[in-house]
Amino acid sequence: MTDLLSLSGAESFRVFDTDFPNGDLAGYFPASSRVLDFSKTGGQVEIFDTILSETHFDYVVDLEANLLQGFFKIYSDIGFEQAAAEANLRVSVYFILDRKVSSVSTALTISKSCKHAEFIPVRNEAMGNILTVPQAANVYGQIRHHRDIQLPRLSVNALNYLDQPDFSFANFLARNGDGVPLELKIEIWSFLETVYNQRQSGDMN
Amino acid sequence: MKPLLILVGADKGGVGKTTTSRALLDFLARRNVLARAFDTENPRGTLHRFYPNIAEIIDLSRVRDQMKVLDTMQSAAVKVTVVDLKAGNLSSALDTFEKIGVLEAARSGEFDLALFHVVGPSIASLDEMGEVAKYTKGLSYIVARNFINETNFFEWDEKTFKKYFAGLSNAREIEIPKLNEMAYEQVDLAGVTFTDFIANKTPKGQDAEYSFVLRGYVRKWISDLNDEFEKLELIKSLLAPQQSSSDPSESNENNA
Repeated sequence: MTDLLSLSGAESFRVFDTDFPNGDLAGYFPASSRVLDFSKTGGQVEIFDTILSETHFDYVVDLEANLLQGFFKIYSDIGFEQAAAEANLRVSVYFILDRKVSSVSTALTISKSCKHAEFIPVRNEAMGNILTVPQAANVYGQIRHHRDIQLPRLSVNALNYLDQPDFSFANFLARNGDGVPLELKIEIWSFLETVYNQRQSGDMN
Repeated sequence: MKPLLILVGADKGGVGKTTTSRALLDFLARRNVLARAFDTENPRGTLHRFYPNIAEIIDLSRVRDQMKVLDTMQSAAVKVTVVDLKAGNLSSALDTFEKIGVLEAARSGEFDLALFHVVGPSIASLDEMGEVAKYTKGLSYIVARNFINETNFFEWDEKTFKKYFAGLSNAREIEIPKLNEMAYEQVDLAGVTFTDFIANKTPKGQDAEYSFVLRGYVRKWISDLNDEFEKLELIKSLLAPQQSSSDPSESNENNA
């Protein structure tokens, strides 16, 4: 997601990484990222106040799993959605499901607390398909969502390649995959095509 | 409308008494109920700092200042009077009011009197409830459990509180919910009312630049607090003046 934004230039987007103090995502975009502690009020102020006061940026907020419920409680309590709408900001929530039924239940809860945001469940094929469990499928059916995204399973080699600190999807695309072993190049290219096609398809709805 | 005297007090300091007074004055203002206030935190006047136009600093131990509050209730254009009692002065103030006949006048219906007793997390706060009970018969007695500056472990549990509370037949209970500490500090620093902070206004009414998040925290807190105040019969009567002149014994808070 962030790489997609970075294609428009480093000055067009900002990343808030709540993986404090590590900032794994921020490590890939150091010039545009801030690592902050969302459990502290100062971190909350930094995220929400910045988004509402510097509306010329696109933002990615990478939320740690343990902060998810707290984040959306504050999001709802402080009336962020209404303020965002008044500032002409569009909010999209990408919720990554894991292999537990509780994950689908959490997605349902979160989708209810951000009523006016675009809610997009993301399923990772590598995690298995939780929707084969009837109870999960039932809850999933109750989630208000605009579309969903399915991440194709990647090989271990491809995952290791993507995890390299200097890897960037944007550079991969810009260089047309030059310098990447052919097998991985095809796999990553296919992965990106599948993901971005789903995204574009949703955007056109 | 019959005058209403609201006393806000606690015998223990640091339980959020003035915050409760501020919240109450804010609530009344939002509901378009005119009120005047007396701040007995003499000479500093914390409440006065936030409400310079309606709050006067007085020394309740001085007869002249007692007269300023009590002798003007009938004649004042503003019928609601809020008195923020100095920390540690609740029992002595009630004792004085009992001796000079203020409590009896309220019991006989000359005016309405409500006591907001702010209790904090210590056992001492609970003991206070028993101590003031002898003064509150026939009056509206509201125990405000203050969680706003909850920084300590509560020394009492719910069961203990209910045990104390059960001994007070006429008491009603509200909770002052916890407010985010940074939000509370910022309101304090700004020296504005909670309502003005939410509206992003300076004390002089100019546009301010308070944090959206902190304003959001205060907005949510105020909303929760509204629910607490609105469940009180005293407040219901105040907001529906046509009913306030009815027999005070009908009020749930006056059933002692």
